[in-house]
Amino acid sequence: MLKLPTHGFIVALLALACGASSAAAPGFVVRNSELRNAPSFSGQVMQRLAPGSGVTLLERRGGWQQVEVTGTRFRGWVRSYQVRAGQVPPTVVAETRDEQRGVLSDLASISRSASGLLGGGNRAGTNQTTATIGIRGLSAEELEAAKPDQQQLERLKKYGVSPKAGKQFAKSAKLKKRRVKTLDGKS
Amino acid sequence: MRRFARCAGLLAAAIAGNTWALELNLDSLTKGIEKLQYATGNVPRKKEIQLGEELSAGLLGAVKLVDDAEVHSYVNHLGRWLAEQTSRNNKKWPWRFGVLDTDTVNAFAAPGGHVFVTRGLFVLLENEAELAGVLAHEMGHVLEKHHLGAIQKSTQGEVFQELLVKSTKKNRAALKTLMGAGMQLYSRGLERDDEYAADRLGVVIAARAGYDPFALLDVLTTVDSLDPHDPNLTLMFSTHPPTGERLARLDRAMEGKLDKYASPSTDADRFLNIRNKLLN
Repeated sequence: MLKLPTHGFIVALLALACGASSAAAPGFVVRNSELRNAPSFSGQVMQRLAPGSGVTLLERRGGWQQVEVTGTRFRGWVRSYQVRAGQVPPTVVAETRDEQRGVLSDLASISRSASGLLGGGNRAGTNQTTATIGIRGLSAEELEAAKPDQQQLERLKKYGVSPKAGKQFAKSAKLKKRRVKTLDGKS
Repeated sequence: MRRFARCAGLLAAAIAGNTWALELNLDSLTKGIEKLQYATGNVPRKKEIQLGEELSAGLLGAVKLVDDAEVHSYVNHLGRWLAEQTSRNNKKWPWRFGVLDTDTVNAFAAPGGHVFVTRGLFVLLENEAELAGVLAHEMGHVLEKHHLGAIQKSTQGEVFQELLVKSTKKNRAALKTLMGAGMQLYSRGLERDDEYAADRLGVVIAARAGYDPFALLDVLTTVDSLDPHDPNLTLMFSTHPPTGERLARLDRAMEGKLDKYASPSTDADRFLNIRNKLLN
């Protein structure tokens, strides 16, 4: 692993001094990640983490997740999609240095069922879905051979709702409109 | 434009001094203007909706809607709220959202404002923000007219214009050709750049609607963690860029710009109630 830069070390120490967040939960890395000393791409890279590395999930800020690497005192920030909640599946940890999707998928699906058992996620149904794989799938051939179904289209049209109904829906969940420019800077 | 055409036609008729000339000029002028509009990619709203409905009927011929009004009420309300955050936020655009009854993990869109998510994808989602991210990605395809552009390309411009002009109930054959081109988009996919563009637009629409824009990244992470050999993923993986690449590009595009809009999920219960219905 990389040498810990002095600056990062101080930040890590400071972070440790602040104590663990009460929301700490076990998690693991699902893709090659850079552990940074701040929740920003300008933050210094303190360590690189391989898929399968165990971490403790601390605070989430924007697209950043603060983690502490299991068995070390390294604490820093990774992109939130690079980690997942749950226990590291012990059987596949040894294989995960090689970032192949197949290996990763084993890792994540095992972890998902584990987190379901632990009550850590809302994914109890995921396993049921995989159990029915292939029964009612949709293939490219079926799409190209499809005959238009006007009755189904009429049903779809009836399901549409008014803009006003959409606003009511948002209001009931206290969702508020926000002014956000497109990523190309357009409003 | 049309008013101008009529004026020009009337003027021509006045000069020629007979009604036959009037009809001829009006007809050719109007068609000329329509062709010009289509050539610039500016397909009239009604035509776009009509084509979208035809494509939706085709898709629904391959896979039916989940037979549940409550599920559809939920996705249509959520979808309409998302539509409020776009340039097509008025009643003239009939946004319609459907849940397709298949284990296949995928989502589709059709011109005019038609968006579909499969039951297989819905049940993999964790919260309403993730569903918003998926729907908003598909809405991005509609807003950017990706399907219209692709059909235009595959039918080689001029043919597309002719077909659109003729695509009324009187000319089912022309529409059938268009349909074929459209359905191939569902089986073969859009351009990769269109998918990346829809990802970038989707996160913005979701953020505007009050949802965590990072939820779409969470969905992609979930998809990326599934067994790639699962037959229910074959169609999506063959019609989309590699999920890891989508994640990396989207993450870079979002860098710092949407961090302040990240927020915890707002209403867990209503989403979970609907998802549970789809699991049973």
